[in-house]
Amino acid sequence: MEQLMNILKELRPEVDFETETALIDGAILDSFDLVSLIGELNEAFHIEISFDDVEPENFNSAEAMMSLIRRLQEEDS
Amino acid sequence: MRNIKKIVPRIFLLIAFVVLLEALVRFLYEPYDRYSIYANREYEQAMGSLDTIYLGTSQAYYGFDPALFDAELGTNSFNMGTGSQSMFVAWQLLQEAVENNPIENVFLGISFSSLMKEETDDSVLAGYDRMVTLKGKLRFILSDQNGNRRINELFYSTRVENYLNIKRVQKNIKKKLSADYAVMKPTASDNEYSCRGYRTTDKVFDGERKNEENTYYHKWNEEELNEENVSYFKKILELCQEKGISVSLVILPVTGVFLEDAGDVEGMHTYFAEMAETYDAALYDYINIENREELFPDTCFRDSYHMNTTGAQVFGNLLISELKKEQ
Amino acid sequence: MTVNSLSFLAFLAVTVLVYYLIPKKTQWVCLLIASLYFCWTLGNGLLGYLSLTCLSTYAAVRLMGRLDEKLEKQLAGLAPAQKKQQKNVVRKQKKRILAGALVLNFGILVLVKYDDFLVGNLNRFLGIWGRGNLTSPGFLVPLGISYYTLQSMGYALDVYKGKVKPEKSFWKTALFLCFFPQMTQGPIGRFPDLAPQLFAGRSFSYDNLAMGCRRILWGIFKKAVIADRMKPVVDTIFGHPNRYSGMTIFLGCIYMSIQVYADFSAYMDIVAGAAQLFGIRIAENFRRPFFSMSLAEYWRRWHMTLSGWFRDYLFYPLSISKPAVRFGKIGKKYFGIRIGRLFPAIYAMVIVWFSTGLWHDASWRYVLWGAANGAVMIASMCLEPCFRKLKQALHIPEESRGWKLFSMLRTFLLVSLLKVFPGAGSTKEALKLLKKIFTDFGAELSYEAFFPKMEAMHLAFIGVGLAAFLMVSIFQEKAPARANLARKPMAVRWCCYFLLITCILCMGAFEIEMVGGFAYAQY
Repeated sequence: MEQLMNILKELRPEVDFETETALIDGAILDSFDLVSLIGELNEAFHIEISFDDVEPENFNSAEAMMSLIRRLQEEDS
Repeated sequence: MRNIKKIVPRIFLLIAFVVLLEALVRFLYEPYDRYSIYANREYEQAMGSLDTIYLGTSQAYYGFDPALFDAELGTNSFNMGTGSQSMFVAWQLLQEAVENNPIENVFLGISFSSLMKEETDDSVLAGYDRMVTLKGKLRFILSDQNGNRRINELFYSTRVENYLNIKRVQKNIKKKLSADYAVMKPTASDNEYSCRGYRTTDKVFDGERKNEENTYYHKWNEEELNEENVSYFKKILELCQEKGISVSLVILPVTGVFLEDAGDVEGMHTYFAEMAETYDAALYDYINIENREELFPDTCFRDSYHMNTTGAQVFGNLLISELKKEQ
Repeated sequence: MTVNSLSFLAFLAVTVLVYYLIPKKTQWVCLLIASLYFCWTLGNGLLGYLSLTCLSTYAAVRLMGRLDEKLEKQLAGLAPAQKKQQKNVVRKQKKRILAGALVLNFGILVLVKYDDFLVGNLNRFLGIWGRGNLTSPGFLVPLGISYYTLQSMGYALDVYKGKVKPEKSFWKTALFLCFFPQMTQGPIGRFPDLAPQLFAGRSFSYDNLAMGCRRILWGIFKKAVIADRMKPVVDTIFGHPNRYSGMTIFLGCIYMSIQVYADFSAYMDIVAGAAQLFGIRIAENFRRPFFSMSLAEYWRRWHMTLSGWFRDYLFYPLSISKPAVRFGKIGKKYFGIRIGRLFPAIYAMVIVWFSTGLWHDASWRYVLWGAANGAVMIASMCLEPCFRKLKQALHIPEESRGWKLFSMLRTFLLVSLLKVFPGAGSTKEALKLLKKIFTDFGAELSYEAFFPKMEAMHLAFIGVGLAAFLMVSIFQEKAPARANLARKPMAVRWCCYFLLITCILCMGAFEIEMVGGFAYAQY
């Protein structure tokens, strides 16, 4: 989780990722942020986020992103 | 039920508002001397007793003098010619006339443009302005294919050219509120209105063409006939045949200068002769006749193709004598 | 029929009446019949093309759905390693079905819309060997094909992703595809949002009727008093641009910008109002785009369903695809991490903007237009830190009103300038006009240079319309206006209605003839 928070903070330092739950729906992260983020997450957690996973529910909050990461890591192993 | 109680009064309120707005705009902006106002007034007064109508373009409203025809033939006629009248408009006017009058005779004034010119918004609206019954107006609007024009027909306020023309508004108010507006007629010099839809003027053609050659719809070419016009033309002939109304196709006279560039004029006669034959109509051709130049010299016309007072009398008397012979 | 006609209003009234008189279970059938009738009146073989799309979409989603159902059953008795393998197998099968549907439907779109463009360019290419004389089949383009194709393919893609379960009824699917308020110019709806609303039964709500009618009235006002009144001057300038100086042409771009916005948003108001009469909320296309402070923000507020579609179904998959990742690695290698991180997005954006331009029209000027938009956004993305440093150095207060207004104006002018591409008649002319704006500005303070061939009275009408539009937009930016209007006392509301009706009848233009009735119907 800490690793995720670091990545998020580096991307957009002004956003409060601990409490925010509408990152996509509230247009806090725009499409470019999301693309950069996906690239970073793929590299950092050795997962492959696919087209199927690009849904607002999976990226609206840090918790949602963490669940996605864990699920993809499970599937891979 | 509760909803209906809410909705119905609101709909009425909206309709009432639009009706009031329209009435106000018409009162303030519709020119007091628009000749169709007078024509319509007379038409409404004569409604129910007419037995003859004249249809056609401006050539027709300058050519058929109802007073002359009524005096000589004992008819009760009305001139329903309008500017650049297309066959669609003629068809609408005919239907309304037939529904509300014991019509026995229809004189269809034939101009070159009658079948060749496609309808313009102005000419259709001018035709709409001559409808006097609600049923006729509704039928006209529903038959009009042009969506924008339908809005213009339904709402006069969309037709006002200049809302800031205060002088015109003042004049309108003054004239329309005056005591004798109900019986007032327009001054002859302004819009040449005579009576029963007939317009006339003493102007005389000076023999000079305004433009180098005739516009395309003033040159007869059977290949280029406007399909819509032809189909409504046939509808008119069919309706009259059905109702036993006698139809006279009258090819109206024009000046020699006009005829210099008018296309296949003889072919025009053949075409209408065939149509007359097919639909049991009579044909009177005042272009392809002998002594055309002597009968209709330039003094009979106000310009290259519209008759003036003299011309209308000459033409009228000629036609009347032929009709009397046949009787 | 076009949505700004009396016949449409009559059709709508009848449909609404029938809708609320029949049992709730059959209400969607009423919508379907009305929509099919509406499509029939649009002609040009629309119903034929629609059936093809509907059949192929329905077949594709049902097949994919069945594969998913089978997969779920199979996964129950499998070990994790085998699960992943099986999932991949099914995914490959689904991909093949999806590809089939995409190729067929986009193929139809390309064939029908771009036949002239493709044949023209092919001829130019073959002309090198003296063989460029193919004739284009010259298909008549049915109105709305660009919109409903995207809507149906979005649905297929959602089913592929597993985001939505396929609809079992063929006719309900057909309704989703041809729902008449969305037919000629969108908005491009999404299945999870729209479908449940379409198929649900509902009872009459007076509020929906009132709000819907209000919105329709407002749309008609914008169309008649602003959009159609402005069209003549835009046509004058772009019809004979050699008569006018660079300044007038630039003004023409600005006028066109406003006119197209008024036109398209008017259409949106009419159709959204129409849908609301049935209690259905369709997707919004505009969020006061001219209050945007950057081009990127503009595209999040303008034609939102189109840019949203391209973002979700083209931009994201492209930007996380293998070529994008490879491109990103190259970027990081040569341009450092910060810029390199942007490379996948840039790769995707180039393709998306090329497609967006092409989607609008089959011509190189639209491709250039798309490319220009993309270039500006890519550049501003890459240069963002430089701009930030510059703003700090110049002590520019970003939160200040002055800076915000400046940003809005700058964005508006940029967007307007780019309108030279859609406005001009050809690619060559667009470039010529662009050059003229910069090299032959010819600033002149005369009425004719500012408003060529426009009557002062019409200018006044447009002024009144724009003032009203601006005022309402400002209120909406702070809070939804229509809800506000509903809360005002009855007298105020009815004064507004009467005022709007008066303005429409007295100031509205009803002479404009356009294919499909609106500017965006041509796409």
